[in-house]
Amino acid sequence: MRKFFSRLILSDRFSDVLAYLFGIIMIVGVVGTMMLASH
Amino acid sequence: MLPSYFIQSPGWFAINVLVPVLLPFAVIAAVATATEGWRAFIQMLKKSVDAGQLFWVILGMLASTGYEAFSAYKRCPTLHEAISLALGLCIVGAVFCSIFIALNTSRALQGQTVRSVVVWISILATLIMSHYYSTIHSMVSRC
Repeated sequence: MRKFFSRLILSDRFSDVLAYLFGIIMIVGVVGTMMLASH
Repeated sequence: MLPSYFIQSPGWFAINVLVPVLLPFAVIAAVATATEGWRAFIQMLKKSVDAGQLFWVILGMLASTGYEAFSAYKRCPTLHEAISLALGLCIVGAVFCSIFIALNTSRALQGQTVRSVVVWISILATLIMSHYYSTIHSMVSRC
């Protein structure tokens, strides 16, 4: 289990996927809030 | 062309957004020019963000935005949906930032560098949060 987490945390793909996901969530959240506030 | 929040409350914007985001870079510029020159400034600028340090800044702004949204929930019944989404975004964003801080620290401990896409996303998220925090503040202070 520890080996799995260690490999996961150090994997480049995991970092990249998490970063893209974070970026998408931020953009969708901000645009969504602005749209809801303008109605 | 300036955003409305900048015109409405420039003091608030300066203290809550410009100080945590830009003041460190201004001091870095001062130190670089006093010691090595402008070429060192670019290198120092890169070094100051390439380990994902901006996630700490984003986390602070997310927490403040979340507090502003939470405290305005009862006060602004017409903005319930927008405030709920803002609160949700702040919580999810804070979880992601904490994960990135832990992830980047762990990678640094193992001698690995932070991925460039992660650094670019942290810069993008800092810019987004600078605008979002100010907009939420100006939105909830009107009701």
